[in-house]
Amino acid sequence: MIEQRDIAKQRSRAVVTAWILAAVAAGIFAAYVLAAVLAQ
Amino acid sequence: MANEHTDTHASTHEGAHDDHHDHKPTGFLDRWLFTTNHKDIGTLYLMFSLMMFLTGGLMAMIIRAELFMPGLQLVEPDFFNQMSTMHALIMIFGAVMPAWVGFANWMIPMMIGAPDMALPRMNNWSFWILPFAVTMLLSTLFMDSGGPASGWTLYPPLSLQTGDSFAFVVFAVHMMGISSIMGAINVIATVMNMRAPGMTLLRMPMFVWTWLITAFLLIAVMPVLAGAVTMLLTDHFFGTSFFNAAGGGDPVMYQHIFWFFGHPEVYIMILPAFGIVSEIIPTFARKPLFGYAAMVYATASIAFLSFIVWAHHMFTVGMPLTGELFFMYATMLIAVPTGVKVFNWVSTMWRGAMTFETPMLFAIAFVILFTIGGLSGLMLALASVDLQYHDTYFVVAHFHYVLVPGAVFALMAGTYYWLPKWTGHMYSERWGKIHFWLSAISVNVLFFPQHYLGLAGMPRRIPDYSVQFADFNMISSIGGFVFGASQLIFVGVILHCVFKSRQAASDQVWEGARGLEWILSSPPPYHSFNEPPPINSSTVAHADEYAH
Amino acid sequence: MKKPNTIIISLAAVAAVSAACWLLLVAPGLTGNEVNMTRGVTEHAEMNYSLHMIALWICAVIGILVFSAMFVSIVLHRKSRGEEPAKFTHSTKAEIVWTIIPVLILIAIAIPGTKGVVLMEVSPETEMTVKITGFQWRWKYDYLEDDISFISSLAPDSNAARRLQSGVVPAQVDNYLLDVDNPLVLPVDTPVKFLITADDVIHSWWVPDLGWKRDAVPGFINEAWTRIREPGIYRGQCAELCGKDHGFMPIVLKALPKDEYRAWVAEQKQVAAVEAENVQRLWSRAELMQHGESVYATQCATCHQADGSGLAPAFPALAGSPVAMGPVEEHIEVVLNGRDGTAMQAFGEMLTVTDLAAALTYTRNAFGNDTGDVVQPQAIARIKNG
Repeated sequence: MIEQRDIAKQRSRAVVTAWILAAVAAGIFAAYVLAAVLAQ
Repeated sequence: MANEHTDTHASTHEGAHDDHHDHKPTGFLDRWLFTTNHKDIGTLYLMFSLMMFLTGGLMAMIIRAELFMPGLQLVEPDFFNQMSTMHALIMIFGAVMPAWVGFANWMIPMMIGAPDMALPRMNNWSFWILPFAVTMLLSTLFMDSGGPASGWTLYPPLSLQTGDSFAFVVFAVHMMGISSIMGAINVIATVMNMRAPGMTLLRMPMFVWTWLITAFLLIAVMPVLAGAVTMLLTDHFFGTSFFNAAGGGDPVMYQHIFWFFGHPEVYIMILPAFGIVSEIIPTFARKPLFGYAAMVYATASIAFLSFIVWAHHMFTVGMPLTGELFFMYATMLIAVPTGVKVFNWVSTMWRGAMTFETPMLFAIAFVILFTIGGLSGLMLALASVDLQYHDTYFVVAHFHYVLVPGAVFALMAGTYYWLPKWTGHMYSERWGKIHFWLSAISVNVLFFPQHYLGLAGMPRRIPDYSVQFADFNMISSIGGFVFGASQLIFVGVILHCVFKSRQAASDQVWEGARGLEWILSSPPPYHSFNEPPPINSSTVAHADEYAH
Repeated sequence: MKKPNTIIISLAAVAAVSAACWLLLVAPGLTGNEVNMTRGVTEHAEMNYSLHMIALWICAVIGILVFSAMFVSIVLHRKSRGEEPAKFTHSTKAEIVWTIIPVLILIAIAIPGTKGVVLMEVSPETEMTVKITGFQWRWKYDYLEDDISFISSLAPDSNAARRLQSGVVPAQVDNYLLDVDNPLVLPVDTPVKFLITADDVIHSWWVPDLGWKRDAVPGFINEAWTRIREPGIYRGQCAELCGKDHGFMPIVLKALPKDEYRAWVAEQKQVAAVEAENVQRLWSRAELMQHGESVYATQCATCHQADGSGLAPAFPALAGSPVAMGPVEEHIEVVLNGRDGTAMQAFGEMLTVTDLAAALTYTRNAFGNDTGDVVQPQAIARIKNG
């Protein structure tokens, strides 16, 4: 018997994952530019 | 990202019949411009990357033609510099990286038992940014101030001497970076959330593993590149002095930031290649991948080490002794997990029952030629000898060995491997083999002599050279022309397979193939797995627990 | 039956891979081309050569072993020979072995590797210092103790031959692209310190026979040192992409025995004295034009072209130019201090006062420019001294 899955639930979790990753990417960008500005 | 629409879309289709899934959009624009389907987007990525491969290749032909003999015969030095800069940018950001995203799109949902990628509309966006970015980049060649001519690394202050077209270059890099980050987010979101029940992380195919790790690298370093080029932009147009010593900045700081991106970028281009080769060799050796878990850990180790070796690109800029030693040791360490991978591939072949179809030939050539590139990389790691090797053709030979018969051969291997699955037809094995042998021989005629040139003292990025370098440059150019021409065969084989081939492919295609993608029909249904597939020893390719 | 077969095939594979290795690594050298790193004439170069050879042969041996195993497998373990695939999938023992052995090899390489880095970075007490400055696209050398200073540019015959479709066969030019007008002259057996920097963009100063290259970074000074063992002429090139003429800024180093070097220094001081005299006296227009033509050919013609027609869009024409035909003070100002944001460099510190005066006179009276102005060295000296 194959386990059933809830694709809608999987997808909504995926959206949360995506937002977290996007925030991380934006954070890295901001951190680098900010560090360079402060180093000026 | 509001995905409600897509959610309901997917769930209403769940449980429907197979023929129901194949309702592709009918109009051309609906099918391709507005597509949210992982296979169609994968196809777009792959076609785009093939076109960029030919465009970048054409630039390489111009470079090799000018270097055919000493003296300037064809182009002015400034145009030569534009060609070498643009060749690298197009090949890296236009050809290799999008090709991997294309493979990820096509294969990851099929390999982990998902119906599609997790974020289909973002997927569409991340592809359609690319043609615009590349058009913007290429358009600089036709501007008054010319294209970028400072090398793909865009080192200031030289890159700041580019005219107004520099703004276009920077924005193109931004757009390509955003596209890559979105592609990477999609891969992670898909792999983390969309796996079929029972498809645990350590049952995933190696290609999915290597891509998952690649995606984390992309998210970590593409913003760093974006930051670096943004600072170049403000230095050029808005009077800041991030990298201008006269204004209190530091040109070497750019190099640190750039290579903090640049070194992981190297692994972004090669890790998925490791993954593909780890799929292909077991199939044609008819034997599970040797040391699956070790392969996963080796990939992760390489990814980790890639963050702490960046300054080995900068041994000549002047660093404290401890810095040089640290980066030398860290770089040498990469040889350990890379060695594990090579040994495991050989062990996978050992006592198998091998056949040598085109994908296997490319995969074997990959292992040999990538290893040659890896060994010269070990030599380059030695900081004091690097003061001789650095910025010579020895380096050019090294990174082309890992990128062309490395990454590009893996892309070709993967194309031949999965083309029958994608199209439902077999490609021409005879022409595939002709393509392989021509490419494998000419690529060595092209790049091996460049080792000699570099050791004998020829710097890279020069349009003309002293006569002592003439013989091997001519040999290298001849190899280059044959390699370039051979790729037209590749295009021909693909077109023939897609449009003309009448030889139907079976679902499994290859006798030894195992994994979820092979239980789908050839060509697969429009939505891959709406119903979770069975996860067992015949569908999990090479997880150790199922291998006995 | 299978056993002896396996051994023969294994030996054949090792022989074949070794032969391929010989063909790639040794045979090309027999063609008479230089295919390997130079042994050089300094302790750095020798150190790096031997390190390079150690690493190369270790890599060759690893390659022979790995590729031989692959070829044995490719020959023996084929379906067409009726082989059944084995069932093994992993071996922790094997994984440990091929993790540990590479680590040991790396340690063996890292020990001499570390010595090499230390040799480069830890300099002995030096007896003289030369400041090297990279410009687009020439080198300037300042001997700090002896107060000698000159610019070194691509030799005129190479410079003419390297034009697009120049019609000159490079093989007929002496040391094509590796020759300069004024070589760097150094004594042998003397520890020399270099201070390396740049004026505009990053360059990299590289003479392979010295065994290293060092980047010349504008605004920063890098240190390096050398001790040359044998007199001779050693050639190198800029190694960091620095713009359109990156391939055309060679380095020539002439290493002299100590006594000859001292004679050379004395001669240079003599030349400086003559220059000082030249600045003081008044020059005739014909003298300035004649000298100016040769200065223009080596310093200005690369960009502005021999006939003053320039190279659009970056390099404006001088024939009929508003600067060359305009007020002389502004013209001098541009030549001395360069023009920000363009490729026009500040020549004030790069050329002698006499050269500057001659080049200015020449450009104001050549290519159909008819200002009739004569710019005297004295005038330049006055402006330079404020």
